[in-house]
This record gives sequence, C-alpha cells and structure tokens, in this order.
Amino acid sequence: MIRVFALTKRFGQTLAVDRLGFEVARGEVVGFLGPNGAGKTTTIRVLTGYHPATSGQATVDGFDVERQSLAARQRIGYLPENVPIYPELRVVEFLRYRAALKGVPPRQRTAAVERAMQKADVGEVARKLVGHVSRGFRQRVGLADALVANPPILILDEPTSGLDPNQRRRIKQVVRELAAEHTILFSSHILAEVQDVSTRILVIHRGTLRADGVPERLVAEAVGRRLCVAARCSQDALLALVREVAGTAAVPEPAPEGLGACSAVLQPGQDPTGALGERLLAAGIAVRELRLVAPTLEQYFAHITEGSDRAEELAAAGGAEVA
Amino acid sequence: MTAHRWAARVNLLLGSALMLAVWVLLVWTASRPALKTLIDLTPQQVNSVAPSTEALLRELREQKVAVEFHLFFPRPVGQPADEAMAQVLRIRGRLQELTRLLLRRYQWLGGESVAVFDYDLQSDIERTRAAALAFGYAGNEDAVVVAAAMPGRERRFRSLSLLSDLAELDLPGLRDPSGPAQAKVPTLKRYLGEVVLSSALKSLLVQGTPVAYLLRGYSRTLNTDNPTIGAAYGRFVAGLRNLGFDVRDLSFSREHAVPRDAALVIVLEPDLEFTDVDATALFDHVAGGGRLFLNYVHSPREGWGPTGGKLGELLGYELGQLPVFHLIPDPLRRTSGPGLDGNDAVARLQLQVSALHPVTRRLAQAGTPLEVGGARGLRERPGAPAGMRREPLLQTGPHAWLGRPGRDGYPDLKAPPANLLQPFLVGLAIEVDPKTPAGGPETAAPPKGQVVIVSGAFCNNSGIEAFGDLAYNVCNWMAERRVLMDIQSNQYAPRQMLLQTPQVERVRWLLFYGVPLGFLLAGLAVLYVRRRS
Amino acid sequence: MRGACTVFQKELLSYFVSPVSWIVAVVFYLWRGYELSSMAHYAMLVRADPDLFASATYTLPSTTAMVLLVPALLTMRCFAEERRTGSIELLATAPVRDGEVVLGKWAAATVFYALLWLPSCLLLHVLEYGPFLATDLSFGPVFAAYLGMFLLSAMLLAFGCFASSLTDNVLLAAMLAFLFDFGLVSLPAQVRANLGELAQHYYVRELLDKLDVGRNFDDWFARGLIDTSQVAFYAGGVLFFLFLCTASVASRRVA
Repeated sequence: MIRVFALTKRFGQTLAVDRLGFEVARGEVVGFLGPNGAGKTTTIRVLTGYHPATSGQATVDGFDVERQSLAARQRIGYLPENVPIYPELRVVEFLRYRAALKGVPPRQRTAAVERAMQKADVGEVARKLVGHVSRGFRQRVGLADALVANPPILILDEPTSGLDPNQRRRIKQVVRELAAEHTILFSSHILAEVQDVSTRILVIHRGTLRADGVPERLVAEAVGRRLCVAARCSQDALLALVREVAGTAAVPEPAPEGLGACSAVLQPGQDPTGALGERLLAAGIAVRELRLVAPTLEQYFAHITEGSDRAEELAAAGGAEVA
Repeated sequence: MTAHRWAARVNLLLGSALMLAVWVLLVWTASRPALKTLIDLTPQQVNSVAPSTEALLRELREQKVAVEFHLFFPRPVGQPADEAMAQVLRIRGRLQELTRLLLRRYQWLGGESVAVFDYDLQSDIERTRAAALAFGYAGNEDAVVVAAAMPGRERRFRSLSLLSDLAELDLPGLRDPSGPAQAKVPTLKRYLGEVVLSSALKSLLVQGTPVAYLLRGYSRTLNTDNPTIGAAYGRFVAGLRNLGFDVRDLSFSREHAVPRDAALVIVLEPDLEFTDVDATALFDHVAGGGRLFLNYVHSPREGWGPTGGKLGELLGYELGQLPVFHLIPDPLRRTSGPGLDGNDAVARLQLQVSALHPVTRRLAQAGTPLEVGGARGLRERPGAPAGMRREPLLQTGPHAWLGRPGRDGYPDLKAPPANLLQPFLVGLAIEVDPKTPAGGPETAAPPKGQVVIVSGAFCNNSGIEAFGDLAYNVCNWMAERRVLMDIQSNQYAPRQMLLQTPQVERVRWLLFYGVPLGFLLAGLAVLYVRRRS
Repeated sequence: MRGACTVFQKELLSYFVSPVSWIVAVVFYLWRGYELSSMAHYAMLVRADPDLFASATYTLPSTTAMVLLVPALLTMRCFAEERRTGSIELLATAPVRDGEVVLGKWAAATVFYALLWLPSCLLLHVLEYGPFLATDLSFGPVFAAYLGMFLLSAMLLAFGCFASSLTDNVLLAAMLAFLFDFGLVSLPAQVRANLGELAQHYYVRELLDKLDVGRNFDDWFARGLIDTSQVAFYAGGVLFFLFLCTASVASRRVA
C-alpha cells in the first residue's frame, strides 16, 4: 500500500530524512517509532502530500505522491500531529465540510459523518463548536475527520500526544478496531503503545531507518540479552562456571548469605541456560534462579537510537562492569 | 525529482507571465474601437454623444487625422462680488466639468487620433504659455481650442469661448427693449458643447477655403480696394482674406442666382432697392441654408436709402430712412439739454449688443461701449412671414431719436423733448428654416439659413478699428455654421428636492439608528445561536 | 469545481459567524447613516437636485473606506490565518486542487462583500418612498456606479487573497493589501501629472486611464455609463491575481 524508496528531505541545510525506505502492506498496522525530531512527521507529511520530497520516491496504493498527488491524497485519511481545526464550526459542520472536500457524494455525507463520529466516539459533542471541546475530544474529532471518507489508508501522527492515560487507552482501542478494515501507519514516541497495537514497527533516528520488523523478533535478535543466575554456591565458583559455559565473563550480583549470583551479557542467539542448568544439577548445586532477561523495548530503543553497540553499556544498566 | 521540481517552478513563473500577458491582451482587445462599447444607463441617454459625432470621430480615426483639444480654464481669483458673479462662477464650473467629460468621450471614441490638453497656469507655466502663444490665447476667459491636422498638412485651429460659444445662457436683460438693461442672475439654459465642438472640428476639416461673395451692382460708391479712405472697405476685404476667406465678386447681371459654393454673401452699403428677381435669388440662397450679411448705412442723398423692398418683404424686415442719433450718457442723467461737450447734439450712437446671439455674445461680455455713426432704424416688418425667427442684435439705448433733415438737407442733431426719445433697433439676425425637406433619416437636415442685417458704418476703413470684431465675427460665424451638425443639445431641467424636517428626521431614524441597530441585533442573534449547541 | 463550491460554502459560513464581520457592518452602517442623514439635511436646506444627491453618495468618505479597507480586512485571514494555525495542512492534504481552494475563498469573500453593500443599495431605493425623501432617484446611473465599485472591489479582493498567501502574519497580509488598494487609487493620477508630455502618447494614456480607477469611476460608472473595456480590465485583474495566489499556494509544493 505504501512504498517509500530512498526518500530524502532537506530543509535548507538540515537533512531531516536521509534515504529512507520501507513498505507497508495491506492490512498492516505499522508503528512509526523515533525520538522527537527524528523525522517521523516529515516523512508522514511527504506521504500525505503536504511537503514535497527533496529526492526519492513514495507511492500510496500505486500512486506517486508528487506526480499523482490528488489520487494519492484521496486514499489517505490523515490525522496531523497538532490536530488543526476550524474553531468557529460545529463538529458536525466541520466533518460535513471535510467529507465534501474529500469527495463524499452529497447523499452519503450525513451517513458517512455519522459513521465516522460513531467510530471515533465523538457523538456527544456533535453540536458543539470545535473550538470549545476538550483536548481529548478534539483528537477524536481529528480522527473522525481522517475516517469520514472511509479511506483505505490511515496515517496518524502522534494520535495520543497530550492525552491522559484513559484517553490514550481509548484511542488505542479505536485503532485496534480500525485495524480490521484499514491499513494504518501511526507514529509515536511512546513505546508501550506502539508495542500494544502494531503488527510491525519502524524505528527512525536522525532521519535514517534503524529497524524494521515485528517487535519481539527485533528484540530477540538484538544484542544484549542477559543471563541471570543465582545458586547455592560461592560467588567465584559461579562466576567460573558461567564463564566456562557461556564463554563470557560474568558480573557478580549482590546475593543473600549463602548464595552466589551473577549475570552475563550474551551474544545474539546464544542461549546457555540449558547447558548451565545441567552443569549445576550435575554439580549438585541448588539453583535458585536461572533465566534469560530480554532487554525491554526501551533498552532496545535506546540502544539503536543512541547508536551504541557495546554490550557492556547495556550490562551496566543491570549491574557492574565486566572485567 | 529535482528536474521535475525545477520544471514545476519554471512552469509557475512562466504561467504568471503568461497570465499577465493574457490580462493585457484582454484589455487591449476590449479597447479596440470595434469592440469598445459604452452602455448608457442614464434616462434618455443624456450622457452619450450623438451618432453624428460618433461617425465624425470614426471618420477622423480612419483618416488618421490628428485632433487636439486644448483647454484653457483659468482659475478664478478672489471672491465673487455679488450673487450674479457667484452664479457665473458656478456656471463656469459646471461648463468646465461638462466640457471635460465631453472631451473624455471624444477621446474614448477617437482613440489614438484624439488628444486632450488641459492647461493649468499654476502648475505648468511654461507649457501653458507656449500653448497660449501658439493659439493666440489672451488669458482672460475660459477657452477651448480645437485643432486638427490632416495627414501631411499643417495644423489648423479654432478658438472657442466656453461661456459664449459652448453654452446658451439666459440673460433676460436685452429681450425687453423698453426697460433698462439690468444685471439679472444668469442661468444656464443649454449646453452646446457637442454641437459646437463637432461643428468646429468639421469646419476645420471639411472646409477648404470659405468663399465670400461681395454683391456688386447695388452700391454706387462702394470701393473695396482702398485701405486708407475712411469710407472705403479695403481693410475689411483684406481682413477677410487674412482670415482665410476667398473673397469674390458676385454680379446678378448675367445670372440671378447665388453660386452654390458660396459660404456667405455680403452686401455692403446698398443704396438701391433689390430688384424682385435679385431679391428672390438672395432669399432662395438663404432658404437653401445660405448666409447673407447686409450692411446698410445712412446717406444724406435723396433716394439713396433703400428700406428693404422685396427682400424686406420676404425676410420680414424694413429700415427707416432717417438716421438715428442717441444722447451721450450724461453722468447727471439729464434727458435733455446740453451734451457733455456743451452741445445738445450728438453724432454718434452708443449701442447695446445682444448678449445671447453668438455673433455678439463676446462683445456683450467684453462690455466695451460701441459707438457707430450713420445708422438707420431697423425693425420687424408688420405682417412678417412665418418659418423664420428674428432676433435683435444691436440696439440703441433708450435715449435715441430720429434725426429729421433740416433746411440744409442734413439731419438735425438736436435732441427732441424727452417724451420723444425711444430705443431703436440697428442690428437684426434672422434664422430661416430650410425649404427643402431632408432626403431620408440618414441625411442630415440642411442647416438653417442665417441673415444678419446691420445698419451703420461698421466695417468701412474708419469703422473697422472699433468694429472689426463684430464684422469678422459675423463672417466667421456664418461660414462655420454652414457645416453645423444637427445635434440636439442638452436642455437643462434641474430638479429639486423639496424636503420637510419630519422627512429628514425619519431618514435619520432609519439610517443612523434603525439599520445599525438591526445589524447589531442580527449579529448578537448569530452569536447566541452559535454558542448554543 | 466541487472543491471550489465546498470551500466557498464553508468560508461564507465562517464570515457570517465571525464577530468581526458584524462589527464591520455595524460600524460601516452607523458611519454611513450619519453621513446620509447629514446629506439629507443639507439637501433640504439647498433644495438639491436628486441626481446629484444620489451621485454624492459615491464620494462619501465611508464609501472610500469601504472600498479600500474592507477587502483587505476580509481577505487577510484567507491563507495567512490557516498557515498560522496549521489548518493549511488539512487543506493541503485534502484531495482538492489549489486553484479550487483559491477560487472558493475569493468567491466567498466577494459574495460576502456584496452582501455587506446590498442593504446600502436597497436603502437608497427605500429612501425614494413617501415617508422619506419622496423623490425619484434615477436608478440607471446608481446601478452603473455600484457595478463599477463592485468590480473594482472584486479585483482588490483577489489581490487580498494573493497578499494573504504570501505570509503567515494576518496583519501583514492586511497591510500589503491595503497598500495596494491605496496605491491603485492614488498613484496613477500622480504619475500622469508628473509625466507631462509623455502622458499624451496613446498607449501610455490608455494604460494610465485603465489604472486610474478613481477617475475612471468618476467619468464613466458614476455617470451611468458602463465602459466595457474597463470591465475587461477588472475581470482580467481578478483572473491575474487569483492565478498569482494559486501559484503562491502551489509553490509550497515545489519548495
């Protein structure tokens, strides 16, 4: 549905997006992740036709966003980051206007507006002036606007920004419901939401794509998984055993009297828990704790966005330096 | 991507330039004379020009004639002395405005061939002075100079006075010969701008050299060559030639008809009655739109004072035989008794001129007193024929008398008792309706015939000093009127609003209170409805 | 054209519900009411000619203010406000052509402006009746005059849209538009006065005539005459400035 190829956007001297390339297939819900200023909004604005790209290509449902702009825009329902509105119109009037602008035939307009209001759950403020509704409702009005022409693709830029946790939860619920009928690309810098809702994530940092895939798999394939062991033996014995089995140096962990605990950073794909467990059993040492700790998405995110590849830094997040 | 971007930018720039060109082209096309239209929504189309003017300007444009209108409208200085002066100022202002507007229409119709120059002595002294010099403008009154140059030919011009030539004023003074002439408040009766300007234009172009025929055979002592003898007419004839007239002799000895190319016929000092045939010939000339200038004088010789004869019958005038004299105005206002030189006889006649007729208007406004000798009384013949209009041109003041011949045959210069003093007419203008009907709706009706009859030695060598203006005026005016265009001039029927205070109060209530309040309430209502959800 | 109609309807609604519009209307009619009442009073004193009364309404200060100021005020928000609040993003990402958006906004401004003037024309008609002035004001010239003013204003409104698209500062847009309006009315006469001889050259003269909208109004429209070439000038002007506005809006897409 959405194809981006070597997209570059320069604002004067600043390079906002640098040779970005990704795809969004039909039916997917893709989370667009990145710190503030990473280039998410810029990319989205290029896709929706608000800004032209400096170079590269983007197509929406087969239509080039620059050369076949009108057709591309027709297929997108867009919720901008700051939800611009016309404060002097009522919600219904605003939505009717947007429906007309997007080419919804006059006879179907009322029904389309009703449907959109229902999906976005703004029915109770239908007759209020848009300028007078609360922040949360405004966001949902914007969402209703994106939905009103029933477009195949929804692009939502930070749909939960500025909302309280209840409102955020509601938006996520709506997005999940919409996923059944629309292809959705939404951006956020709140990782938990992205993880909850999307089938795939794209991570962008300083204008370049850093990761593209299903969250669990990404995390799983990343460096920095930790092995945590606690057993009834001495610290040193444990350290030596781990070093032997895992092949990496272990870091001692604080442990109650009589126990030894340590942790070690593993290579990607490395899983010595089975081997270690057997050794400990064979040695007759009671095992208190033997687990693999995957980094959280935050840690993963921090890792790839900070650009640091040193396992040690991650390990330091959990314990002491490895010698 | 970049190439596409640049192409798009260049496209926008080119598009803007193209749109500008389209705009210019659109305006240029709409300004082409063939497409230009002026839709007139005024009642009776008072602000449009006549079709004949349009046709004239179109013709000028096609022939590439360079037409110029030069406006010399000096700004009035000081405050008007009385109501009459104030009214004159107002009329001048209105006439200036009308003339400027009319010339804008001429410019609009004429396109490239018409240029209008509006001179302002205050702001552009040099240009104004140069133009004044070129056109002989003396700087004392509002003037419009019409100039035209056929391609390859020299520019010719005609100077017109705003108040005298381009307008018809109503000055009730002279119409009533019995009462003294008072300065009443003048009113603007008609604006003749279009008639006069178009005619002047046409006369500059159409006429080559006007031909003035001097009738021979009716004056036994007429000498038209000598420029020095007081009684001869050499200077007048030379003056006419200087003005561009082709002066020829006309004799009825062979053919009793006026040649068709005659702009006017001049008869100087006839001392015989016209024969019936010749009178008919002259009348036919006039009735066919021709011009006739008759200058009678008084002669002491017996039988040398024709009274009009057959021509008088046809045109409805007759002359007395006795000379007319007038008292020199006495500052002590004595109606009898010695004149200022101690003698109660006067030999010269002080005249009042018509302020209405184009020939004498300017003279009247100049206000210089005219004195002439050798005049005989003139009057409308009782039972004068219809189909013509007679208008007094020159008349004496109220203290005139007829000088009866004394024992020596010469008229007695002594004034009679006051009750026998009366005014006498010494100049008459007659306008004769054309006999021949117009050929069809397109052909212009032939102009009306014009006759000017004056009695007195106006244009002999001694009289021409003082009366040159009058004589040349007559001839010029007659020659020009030949090509007068048949245009209806705008009659002024000013309307007035007669309002009462309650009406004005109601207007105030409606417009100052009612309407704004209505808007205020409507606005508040809208605001309220919008807030309510 | 669908897009233009949609934008037109929404913009017109916005004008009607905006308090500023109503304030302008109240102020204008208050001022004008005062002027017309004074004129009626004066007409009573001098027994004025009714045609002069009607034509004097064109030269009132409120008329000049209305023609020069209000177009700038109406159009200042068109694009500048949208850029300021960010709602331009909604328009730019909607499937509607830039040209249609421009057309719709200009049409709404023009129609609203005409509606602001309409009561004034109707009142002149109402004044003809018995209780008020009880005079017949010849309507041909009045219609021609209002047509002339309206056409000029349409062109000024088009420029206002263009000025609004150049900046995101609403006041700056209003200033630009006002400067243009004022310049158009006062400069050509100055230029003509200073050019002297050159002003007689045919093409220069024609150009100055068309541009000197004030004099043109006095000589033609105010006298009941509709000069079709001047109408073409205004129509062309509208097209030109709307095109410039569209180009300015579209240039964002190629920036």
